[in-house]
Amino acid sequence: MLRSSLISAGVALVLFVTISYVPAGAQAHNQPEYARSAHAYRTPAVSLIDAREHTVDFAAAVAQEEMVIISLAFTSCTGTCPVITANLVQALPELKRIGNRYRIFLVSLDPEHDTPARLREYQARFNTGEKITLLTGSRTAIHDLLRAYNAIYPGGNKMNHQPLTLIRAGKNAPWIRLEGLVSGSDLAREVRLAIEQAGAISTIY
Amino acid sequence: MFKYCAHIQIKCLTALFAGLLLQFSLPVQAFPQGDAAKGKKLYEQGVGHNGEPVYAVGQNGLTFQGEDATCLRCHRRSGFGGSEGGYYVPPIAAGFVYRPSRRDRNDRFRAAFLEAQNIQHWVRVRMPRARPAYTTATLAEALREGRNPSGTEFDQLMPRYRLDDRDVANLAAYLATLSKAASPGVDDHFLHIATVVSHGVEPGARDSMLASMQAYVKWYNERLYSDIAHESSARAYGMDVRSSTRLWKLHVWELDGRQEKWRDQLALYQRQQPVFAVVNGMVNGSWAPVADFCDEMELPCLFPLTELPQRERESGGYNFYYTRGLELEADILGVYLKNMRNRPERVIQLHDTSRYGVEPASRLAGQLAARLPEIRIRTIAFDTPQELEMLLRGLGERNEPDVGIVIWGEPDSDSILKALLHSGVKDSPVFVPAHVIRKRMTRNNGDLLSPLLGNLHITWPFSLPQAYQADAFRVRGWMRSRGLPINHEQVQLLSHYGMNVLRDSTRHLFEHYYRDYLVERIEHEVESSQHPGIYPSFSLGPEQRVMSKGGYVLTPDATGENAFNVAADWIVP
Repeated sequence: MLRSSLISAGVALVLFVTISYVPAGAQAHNQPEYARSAHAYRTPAVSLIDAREHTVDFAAAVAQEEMVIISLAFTSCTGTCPVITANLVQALPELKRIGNRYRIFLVSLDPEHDTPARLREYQARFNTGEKITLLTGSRTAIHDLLRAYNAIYPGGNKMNHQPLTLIRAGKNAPWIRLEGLVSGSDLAREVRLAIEQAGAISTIY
Repeated sequence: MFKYCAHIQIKCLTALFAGLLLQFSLPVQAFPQGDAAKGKKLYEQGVGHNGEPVYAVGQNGLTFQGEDATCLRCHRRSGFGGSEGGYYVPPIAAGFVYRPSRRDRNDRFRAAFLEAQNIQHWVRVRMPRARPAYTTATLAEALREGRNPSGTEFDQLMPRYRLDDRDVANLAAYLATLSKAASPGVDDHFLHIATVVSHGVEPGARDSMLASMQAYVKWYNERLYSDIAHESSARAYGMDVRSSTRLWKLHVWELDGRQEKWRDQLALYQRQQPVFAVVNGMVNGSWAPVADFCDEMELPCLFPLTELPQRERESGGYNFYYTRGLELEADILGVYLKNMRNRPERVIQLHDTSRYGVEPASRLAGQLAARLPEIRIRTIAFDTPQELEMLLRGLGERNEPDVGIVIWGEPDSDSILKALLHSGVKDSPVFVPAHVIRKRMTRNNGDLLSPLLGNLHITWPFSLPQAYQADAFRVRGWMRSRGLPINHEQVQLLSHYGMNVLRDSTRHLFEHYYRDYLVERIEHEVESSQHPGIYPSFSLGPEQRVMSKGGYVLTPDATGENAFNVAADWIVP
């Protein structure tokens, strides 16, 4: 009981810090580039497939990583997805400096079109490297995943999706939700901040 | 509210004034004469005048070049832009770039009201964008510095291009031509559409498709007449959209003779009365000659009822399909065999000599060779139903459980099913495409198929037979109320759906009747469309042309409770 109260207090503290936080990029351009919030999501137990056609138990894959970043895209998307992916790749060197115990999951919003073969082409095109795992799966599994992270796109149409990045900086940390395009350097800064906040929570309980 | 509007107007005026000042204060710069063809190459392929890929810098120093830096990726082939990821991409076609931006509700009506978008998109669409017409000099500044002629900074999604004066001039020349002349098939009053039918298709199915389409056109035009007659109370937004609405005229393009002759016949029809799009349609054999014509003429051809679509292109082009047809069924079977618990050691493929037989047999042979080299496969062609019966009887006598039998052949013929039922094949697993059994879909088919219970497998690229189809109920009601007997339900429901998609997509065009724009709207909107449930779901995306991408494998149900059991859940090969 005391423990759950302390966790709630920790999450509330994170939420408070979040609400009062304005991204640095936003200050420079006087307009927010993305919105930030903290949430307690339950990772869905769905079975996905990676680019090597291996089955991935998503909940287990997320649980085994110290830090996880999740983003969403699809391979035929021509507008925002190339930027989302390039931003993740751009963040890799900085994330490596922060620490190597992390994984980025880039989940397809168009699973029936994005076969493992197409994911491999996409990997090669953006040179995503070892730390970014591209995932696809059944329509139902992807839908369950989107629902769990409150990422269902408007009108049931993936073309209406919006850029979304989720960061979980520690195994017991809340999910930091970034809505909008997040540049590589902004992502690295958000990761640092999320780690600090996760540390603050872990010292409470 | 007034205060907010006044604020926006002041912002617009200030921006406009600043833009005019900027324009007059820019040094006069002489640009070379532009080459529109080279500009098109830059726009579509990201290649500059010197043959080198163009280079651009995006958000936070991200660099893009060549194919990743084309204008086409966001502004699309039509130049009408669109919306994706919550971002609004404004139009840059000739009719927009070279005139001052105006407050025209119709231009933003689609993005503002017709799409289910998020709040960020809603805000972006409504941001003031007053600016004078572009010149080559201000276009250069927009491309290089990311500022419009009013001095407004572009969104971070628009990269800043490193283009020299010649590339800017070429692009400017191309933009001056982009979607300038309306596509053929539209005049001030009518939108002409066609459907294609050939000799040799089942007359009942053809008549049902045509009757459904004619009823739809009649219904659509009557509603439009009603709107025109009651302008002030017309549905939604009536007065303002009147200028963009067109009555529909349906033309039936009938093809006969050998397929090699079809191109000339299609060209003659198109010369006599150009059409804006081809919708639905059915032909005997491959759709390829029609598809080639549509690509050649840059004519959108929507959703033919065919099992043999043109599949030379992996993506793009002007032909949209429900599925990949028999090629998909062969691929589904390949995956199913790979995952099968009691997989046969050998596969014998029997196929007739039509393209319905030859093409999927060749596809499956290729799939098995690549995925399951340990399976030995033998392919045998048959010319007549009697020959098939003889071959099957021979296999029935041997009745080997480790030999899988696959049969491909023409649709709408009971010969495959009859030959199977009399073959005596009991233990060998048998695999057939959906059309072999589709007409025999009844709840109590246990008796009919009893000789094959336990060994018949059907690839099924549709919704499950027992699935509830909500929209089908509504469409059936629509048809009954118009006196249309429902005797070819699948054909009729899909014909109605094709017309619905055309209606919804053209509604997004307003007065911008460009075929490329129609293609882009279909790509964007299909996933949101109501469909009659013949297929479980539809989705498309940029350059995607096949809407349903998988299928089940079914086996007959011994209990008679359902028509069939699901042997393999939805497979997307």
